[in-house]
Amino acid sequence: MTFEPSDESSAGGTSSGVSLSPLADALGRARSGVWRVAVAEESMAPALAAGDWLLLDPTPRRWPRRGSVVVFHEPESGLLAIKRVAAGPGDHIRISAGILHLGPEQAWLLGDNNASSIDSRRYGPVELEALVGRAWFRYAPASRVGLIPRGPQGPRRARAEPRA
Amino acid sequence: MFRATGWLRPPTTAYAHCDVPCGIYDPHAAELAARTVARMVELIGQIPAGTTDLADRNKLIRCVAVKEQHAEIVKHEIAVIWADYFKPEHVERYPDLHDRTWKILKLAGKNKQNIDAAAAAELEAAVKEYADIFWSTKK
Repeated sequence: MTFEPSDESSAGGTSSGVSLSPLADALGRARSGVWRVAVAEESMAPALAAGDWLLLDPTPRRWPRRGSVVVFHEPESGLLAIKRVAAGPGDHIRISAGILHLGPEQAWLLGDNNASSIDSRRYGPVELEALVGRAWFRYAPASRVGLIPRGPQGPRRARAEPRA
Repeated sequence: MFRATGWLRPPTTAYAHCDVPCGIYDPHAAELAARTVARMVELIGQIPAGTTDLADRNKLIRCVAVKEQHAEIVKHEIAVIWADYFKPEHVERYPDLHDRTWKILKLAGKNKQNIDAAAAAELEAAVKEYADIFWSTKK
């Protein structure tokens, strides 16, 4: 199950949400989605700092590429969290218990600031339905305005042994 | 001051969630510890001089131990706020911040070495001023 527009009448009469046209689907999520967030806490330092104001793309229907910064609902707590995609659907990651094969809608999300970050090492893979959007642009503070680059270490990080 | 940009402020917060509870600082622990040091000095002063009574000696030793511990807590708490919380812009606003920190650490040491009500009061006042500075940077 992926994102469905919360307003079912806008889904063109489909009840399952399966046969939505991509455009209508994107529009639905764009309308109800989160467009802007303020960053709190430091687990994404130095790429993102507390107090940064970001623009989100709330329309992705699948996990963005590795290295992308995403906002999602943290499993268990439901807290709106921001981390980097370390591995996406179909990827294999090595964990202390062996190899984990990510399902078609799962991603492994890690903070850049490894030592102190609460991320997939704590709560495991994150399902696509928890995805809120991809952070793509920082519009404040003025000194740090610009596109948010995909992490250069994204693919490498995916193979790194996560903390037990 | 942010009135002009208020409408730009994002309506939601995304947490780059940390294990360490980042950004939670409070000078209250230092104030409480400084108060405890002063109170111990007071209690020690109430013990009859030259007493050989076991209960008195027990009380003396306990008060001295607590005074020692809490002077150390003052040093620790102040050092954490100084090193981890205060930023260069705070030092610009309070140029004597480093000096104040240093003096509190010294005063705490002095309170360990001596039983001195004046030094204890001085420590309490210095920590209180430090706390006031801390809260003023939160406004």
